[in-house]
Amino acid sequence: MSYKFLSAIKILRPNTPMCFVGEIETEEDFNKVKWETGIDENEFSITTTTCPHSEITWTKVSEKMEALT
Amino acid sequence: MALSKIDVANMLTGVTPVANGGTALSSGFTNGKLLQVQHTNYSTAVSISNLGYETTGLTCAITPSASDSKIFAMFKLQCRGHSITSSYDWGYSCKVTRTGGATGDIFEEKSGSGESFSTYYSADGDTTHTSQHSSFQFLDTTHDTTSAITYTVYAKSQSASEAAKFQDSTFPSQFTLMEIAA
Repeated sequence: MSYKFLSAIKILRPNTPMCFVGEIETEEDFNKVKWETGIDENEFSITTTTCPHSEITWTKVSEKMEALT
Repeated sequence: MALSKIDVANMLTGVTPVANGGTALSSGFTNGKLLQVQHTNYSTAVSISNLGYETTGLTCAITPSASDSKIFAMFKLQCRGHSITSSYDWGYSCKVTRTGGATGDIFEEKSGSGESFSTYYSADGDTTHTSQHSSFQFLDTTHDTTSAITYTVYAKSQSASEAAKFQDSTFPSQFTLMEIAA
C-alpha cells in the first residue's frame, strides 16, 4: 500500500521529501507522515507532521490512491 | 585392516604445528579478545525520501566493558526502490550516530551529490523496481566509556521523488556490534 501512497504523492507534488513508518492506509496514518521542511547543520532532516504543501491533503491523496488500484 | 595409534601423551603435552592450524606454542597461549557481541534484527518498514538524514529505525546497543576497547560494527540495510522512472535517480546515503555514553557521528557513507551516493540506481527507460541488501562496517575506537551506547542508522534519499523503503515487506535489516579488547 505504501507504494500507492508514494505514487500518489509523486503525482500530486513531485520532489516532496518525507518519511513514514509502516504503511499509509488511513487518515490517521497520513497524519503521522513527517514532511521535511529543512536540513540542520548536521545534515539531519527538520520535519513536521503538519503537511506544509497545499497540493497534498488526505482527501486528494486517498482519491489518487483509489484511482491507482 | 591397518590400525592407527593415537599418541595420547603427546596430545596432552605436545604442540600443534601452524601448518596444521595450531599455534606451535606449548604455553603462553592467550584467550581470544572478543569480549561480547550484540545483534539486532529489525523488520519494520520505514520509507524515506528526505534529503536530510532520517532514522531507518535500525539500532543496536552495547555497554563496553572497558573504555579503551574497540567496537567493531557491521550492519546490513535492506532497501527497495519502487516505480523508479527515468525522470529521477534512486539511491541513498547512510550514517551512524551514537547516543548515551558516547555521542556524535561515527560513520558516514556518502559523497557530495549526484551519482556518488553510496547506494545508487539510475533508471534510463520505463519504470523500474529494485530491491537490495547493502552491507557496511566501521570501527569505533573513540567511545571512551563503559556506559551503554546506542548506535542508530540514518539515511537520506538521492531524490525526494524516489523514496528508499527500508525493511520492505518485512525483510530485515541487521546490526551487529562486537567489543574487542584493546
